[in-house]
Amino acid sequence: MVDLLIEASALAFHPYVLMYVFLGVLLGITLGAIPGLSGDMAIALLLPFVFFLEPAMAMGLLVGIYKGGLFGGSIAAISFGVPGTPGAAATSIDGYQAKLKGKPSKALHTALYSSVIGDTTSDLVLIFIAVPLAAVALTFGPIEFFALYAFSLILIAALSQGMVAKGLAVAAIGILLAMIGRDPITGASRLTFGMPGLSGGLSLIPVLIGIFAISEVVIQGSKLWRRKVDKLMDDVAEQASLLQGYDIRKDKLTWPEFKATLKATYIGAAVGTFIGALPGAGQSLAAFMSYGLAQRFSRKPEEFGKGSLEGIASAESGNSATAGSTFIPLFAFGIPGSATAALFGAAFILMGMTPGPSLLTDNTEIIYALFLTLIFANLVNLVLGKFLLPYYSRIAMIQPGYMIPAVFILAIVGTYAANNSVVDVWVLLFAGVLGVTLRLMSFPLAPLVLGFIIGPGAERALRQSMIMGGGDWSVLITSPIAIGFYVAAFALILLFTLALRAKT
Amino acid sequence: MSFPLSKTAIAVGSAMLTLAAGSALASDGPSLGSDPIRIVMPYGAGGSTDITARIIAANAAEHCGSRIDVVSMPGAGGMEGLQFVADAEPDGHTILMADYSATITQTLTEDTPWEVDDWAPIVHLTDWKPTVYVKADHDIQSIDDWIEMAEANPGSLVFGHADPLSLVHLPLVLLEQETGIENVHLPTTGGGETRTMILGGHIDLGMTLPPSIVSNVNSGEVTAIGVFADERSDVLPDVPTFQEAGYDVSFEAPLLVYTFGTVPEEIQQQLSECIMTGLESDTAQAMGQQASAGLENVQGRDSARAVYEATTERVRDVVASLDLD
Amino acid sequence: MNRTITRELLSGALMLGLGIAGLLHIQYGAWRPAPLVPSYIMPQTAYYFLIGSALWVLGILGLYALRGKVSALERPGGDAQDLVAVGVSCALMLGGGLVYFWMVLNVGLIVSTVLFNAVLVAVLAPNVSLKGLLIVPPLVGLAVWVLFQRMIGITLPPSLLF
Repeated sequence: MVDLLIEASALAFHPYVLMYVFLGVLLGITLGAIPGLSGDMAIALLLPFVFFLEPAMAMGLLVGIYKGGLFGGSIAAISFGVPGTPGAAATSIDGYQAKLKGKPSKALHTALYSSVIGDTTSDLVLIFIAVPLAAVALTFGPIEFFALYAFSLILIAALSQGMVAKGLAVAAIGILLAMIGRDPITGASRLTFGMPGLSGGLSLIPVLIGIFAISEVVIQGSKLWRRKVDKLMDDVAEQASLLQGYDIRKDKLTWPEFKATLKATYIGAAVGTFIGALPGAGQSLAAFMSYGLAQRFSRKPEEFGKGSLEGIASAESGNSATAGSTFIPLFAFGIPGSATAALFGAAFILMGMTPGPSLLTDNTEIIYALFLTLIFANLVNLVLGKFLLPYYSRIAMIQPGYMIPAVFILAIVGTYAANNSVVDVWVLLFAGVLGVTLRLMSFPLAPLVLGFIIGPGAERALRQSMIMGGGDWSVLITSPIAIGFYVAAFALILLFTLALRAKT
Repeated sequence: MSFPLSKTAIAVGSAMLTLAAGSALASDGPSLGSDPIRIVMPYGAGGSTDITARIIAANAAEHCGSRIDVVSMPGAGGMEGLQFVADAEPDGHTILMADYSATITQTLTEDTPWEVDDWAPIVHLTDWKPTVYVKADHDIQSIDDWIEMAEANPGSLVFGHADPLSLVHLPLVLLEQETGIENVHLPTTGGGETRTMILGGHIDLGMTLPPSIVSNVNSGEVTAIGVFADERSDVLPDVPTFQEAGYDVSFEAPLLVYTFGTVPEEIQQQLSECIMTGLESDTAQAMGQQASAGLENVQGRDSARAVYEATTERVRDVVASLDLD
Repeated sequence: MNRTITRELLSGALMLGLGIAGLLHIQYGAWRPAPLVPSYIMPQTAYYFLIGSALWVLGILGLYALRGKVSALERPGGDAQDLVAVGVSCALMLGGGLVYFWMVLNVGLIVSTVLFNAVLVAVLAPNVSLKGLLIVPPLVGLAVWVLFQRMIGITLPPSLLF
């Protein structure tokens, strides 16, 4: 193994390859920072390029974009409360609060470090135990997936601390939104109320950005307007003083602060790596699950949602830790587990390598070079991120009166560009109205998004299990893995209740 | 640093070629001007259709006299993509690339603003051959095994396919009508999920397109038992067709390039020719080979229309028999 | 009646209403028959959860109201929003967003962006200066042009202006 890595290093550390990694990361961070756009889109656009490049260089470029994009999403999430990518939605919960408290640099650095740690963990797992872990992923059939989703739903209830009823209610609304469109089993349109534009269902990006970001932007807009009408010049002065009083040297992430976030980072790394290896589960699920777990195991759970650095660290490392493990099913079985993996699969095919079990044996050198590139790209991400962050934290402090309109417009155009879909823009605005309404009624928003993400998977898994079991509900508890999830869920509820009781 | 993304993407392949060739296009045609051409693909990026579209974009541009952009529009189950092409100016600069489920099946089963005849196929790129496969250690290892076992225990075998009514589901319906066997139909999210379930032993049989299982077949993890086509697949030459096994069922899925029907005939012809010329080039063939895109035998408008009509008839029959509301 | 009670009552009623309307829709709407489990299984479960949570919220509200401890329901951080301002900003940004994107499709991306940005800045920025109003919107327009038109090659229907 190690000798193979050494052999591949000549290929991986070729100056041109390094240059492409660098370029990729820069591009990825920039694109990821724009709401609606993610590294995936850039990778899709660059696919034909791959055919004309040396495989190692092409890989370097694509890997760089991917990793840069994963971290870049958190920049907009923290600076403007607008997640740049779906994976960064959980980061925006605490990240934006931290920024409002005048700590954008701390928040961004926490995000950068936890992102790099999570990502590196995941890459190491990919490199050293790709094949055995893929075998675990294969044992997940519909029954096991349903158990996993049910387990995640229970974590949702845990997420909405103190407001379990309202949390469950918005999770139900999220599931309902996800049911709009085509019935996965019969293919019939449902809940579209005669609108053909809805027949394909609501896409994730507009719902996510609408619920989290547009609603936040509108609330911020309302505060600005009130200030303007009331001519509250002291507020303006306060804003100005926040700008003037902002001292980047005081906003440095200290070593003890960083150390305090490490537990959350490790939780995120473990959860993200595991979720990433499961086909179809995705970055957002990983980020929210890590966030929920980290909050439960934190010494200061009450700070979550109010700018907790631990919250940022768990969400961001959970999000980035899917980066390496998402390739596990692709390498071991040729099954792309995510949109990104599918794009890399297409790139392999264009370079004449077939994803699947023979990929490693037929192309040992290039794949090991890819492994090294994955690790190296993290380093570039760290260095480049560190270099760029001071500028980004300054941007975060620009006058909101000018910034909010620009962010709103970028979110609209970015959402359209992601899928070239006009319907998505209308969905975005509608989701914004819904988000504002729910905020006014003090509903938590994270469970809605989680319900939206896992709703379709849970339904499909449930109905597939029932079809396979001939309509007998007991089929759901025929798998040891599934039973394990149910027991774990039960144990967690018990643990949380006891913990709560002990506190009061 | 500014990095002109779209330029690299669209032009990389074509740019160097285009620069070399210049825009030396015969200027006698009625008018496919030099504005960019958009190939709309009603699917997400990264799939096999995407790769084929990008091969066209990289190679046909110099012959069509303008750059070609690939646009992915998966919205509303692909309907948004079709709508975009239908609404565009009928000047041949917005064309569609899709298999029959978008243009035929959806049009027949859903309430769409267009009819099947409104789409004018101009290039017949390839025929996909739906293939049935099982895990290598499954009791079923041939078409006859399957039919026998299904006849002995009707409704006991679980068959995974992608979306209902998709091109890897309709052949199964047709075979069941032909033979009278019954299977449990299990819709999945697509070829990837079907394969995971087969490999994990969760289901018995699955249907997919050959390129996606070639490596699993070669490594001995799965066995492809039969192909719903007139001839065997090039990438799986050892797998018999259902006709060879004595069941008269063939249901190939043509991949076609379309314009909307309102585009003038001359422009359709011009587009058809320039895309074909582009795909016959050595670079295009080399790219197609690597991607197993099956672009060795690209046919023009006549073949495209014939196969479109034949497929429409076949889909119409199957859908009529399904009794949807 | 204080603000918290109104809010909680309203959310409870909303959840209950949505749940019941949904169940009626399942009862009387058209659902294509599916094998073994009906295709409304997930929506149905969601509606039950909505109704259950609504009863829970209303029940707790009643309980606290009886004991006279409604203030215990206040969430720290759930600061009162200025409803008038939120209404204005909703209408301006979300309603304006509709108009803006319609203009993007029919008039042109850059022109609409500069105009809409100017309107938003003019109405929202507390201390807007004429200089800012003249400089910022064209800059945003330029950024959108560079990003979406040049780098990404956004696909839009043909439009009237730039």
